[in-house]
Amino acid sequence: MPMRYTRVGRTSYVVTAALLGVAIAFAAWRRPAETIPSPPADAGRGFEGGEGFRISCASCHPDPVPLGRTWAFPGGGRAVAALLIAGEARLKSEGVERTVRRHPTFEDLSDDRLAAIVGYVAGLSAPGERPEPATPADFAALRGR
Amino acid sequence: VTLYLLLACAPLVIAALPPRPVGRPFVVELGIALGFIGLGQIALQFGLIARSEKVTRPFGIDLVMQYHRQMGTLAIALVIAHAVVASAARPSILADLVPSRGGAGPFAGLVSIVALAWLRISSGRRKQLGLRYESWRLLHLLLSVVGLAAALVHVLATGIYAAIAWKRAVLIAYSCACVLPVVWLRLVLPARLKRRPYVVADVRAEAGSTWSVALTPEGHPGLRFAPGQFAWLRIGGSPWSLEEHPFSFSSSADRAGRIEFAVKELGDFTGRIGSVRPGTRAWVDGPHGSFSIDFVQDADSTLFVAGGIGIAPVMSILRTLYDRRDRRSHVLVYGCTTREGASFGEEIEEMKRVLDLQVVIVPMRPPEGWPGPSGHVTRELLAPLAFESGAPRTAFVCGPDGMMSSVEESLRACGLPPGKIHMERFQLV
Repeated sequence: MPMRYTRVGRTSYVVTAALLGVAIAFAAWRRPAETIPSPPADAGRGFEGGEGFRISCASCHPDPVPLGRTWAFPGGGRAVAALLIAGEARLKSEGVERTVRRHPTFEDLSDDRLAAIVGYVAGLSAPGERPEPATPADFAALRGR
Repeated sequence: VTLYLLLACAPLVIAALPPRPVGRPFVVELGIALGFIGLGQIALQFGLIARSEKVTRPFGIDLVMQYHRQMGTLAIALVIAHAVVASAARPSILADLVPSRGGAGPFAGLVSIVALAWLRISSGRRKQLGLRYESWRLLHLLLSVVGLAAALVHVLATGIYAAIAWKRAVLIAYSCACVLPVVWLRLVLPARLKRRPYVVADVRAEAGSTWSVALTPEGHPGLRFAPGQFAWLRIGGSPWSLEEHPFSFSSSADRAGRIEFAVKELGDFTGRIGSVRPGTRAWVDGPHGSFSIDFVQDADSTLFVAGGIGIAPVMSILRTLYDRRDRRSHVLVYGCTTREGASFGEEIEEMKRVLDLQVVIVPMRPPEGWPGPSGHVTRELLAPLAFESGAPRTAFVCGPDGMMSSVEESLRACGLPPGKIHMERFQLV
């Protein structure tokens, strides 16, 4: 290499080292994983049908919007993530059926965390597991009357 | 360098601003960071090649081009490293490269890598690939635009970091801003040049397969330049044509209007220069470059070392000094193939009547009985010429790449400080 270019070469090495340093700092500065929150008591009653009415998962997780939706709870806002954590599925949203892919939020979670999330969701009682109130008497009984 | 680093890191800084995803592994985040820095590097290359005087004047356009070559290679390496690290962290994304499965984002990333890799290969192996200079320039421009556009689509369509509307807007604005200098260079500047045409006034043969091409401004006063600078010249065709070539001014900078370039028959374009007819339209983008005695404050005495067509900018300097009746001490070492092939020989001899000028002709193949030095311009030849009364002369070196490297080493070995050696390489590709 011509001597005249050696100064450029040195500058290039400095720039390369600096950029790689910035990249490593960015990666090291990542935000730690948060503990998966337990559902608030009032929300859990709704999920589990404790009040005796059925509720769809999609009521809170309507579709994979980028950062989920934030719902108002008595204790403050709660953001929910999209439900689709792997693969793709045909989902109906707002009257339109479309193919939805798993959201990038879940792309980089470890297998353990994904398993924990699935375990958490699976641990929730599905509305269908409750006896379906079919008569006014059933509703009255559920309301303690 | 600091400004360059800040601009190169700008996309990553945008990504790092909240909201930011949580709990992602280090390797994944490193891959993301390499990608964003790679995007910034690609975008900044457009600014480096835009011939901005503010960028090229302090360093010389050859150094800026060399920096562009190295930073461009680094940009491609970063983008490839991004893909490798991301694939290693999540091998499943390789399957997403199929558009029907992964959508536009991953496929755009693949397109960007292929375009940039081919750009690098075609630049490093242009002659081996048989690419003409003009074809290569067009290919280089197209591949760089495709590489940047595809990288931007990849970031916008794939990354969770660009999922927020304002971040997307800023990234798009950043990329567009980086491309603006090239839009100016390729679209706006030619439109301005079209309003300042030149006409070929004269094409005359000089010794050594060299032609002097004289241009006169048509409907405008012409341009001002410093002796030793160069311009990008288009002869015939359109000012938007990519067929433009850098040539040094060879005429005096102190004579307004008519300008001259010395062109040696070396390639496709220059090989046809002798057939250019007077009256042909021409467009001149210039002046460019920092190789000029007018930009040096302490040139109390000078040493010009010219090889081949490297005599062109030196002629501009000498002709300007002649017009100024300069009284400083000058030495010209002129390396040429044969004594008869030394261009402007008679005119240089004539200048000695006015200038304090010592001329040393160094033919590679000297005639029988040649009394002076011959062969290469060596350290032994330069050592006694590099100093004037013990003080180092200011050296201006222009010629073929190999000769310039050799002369630079020789002058340093003679004890000339680096700041006293001025050169600009014209092998820009």
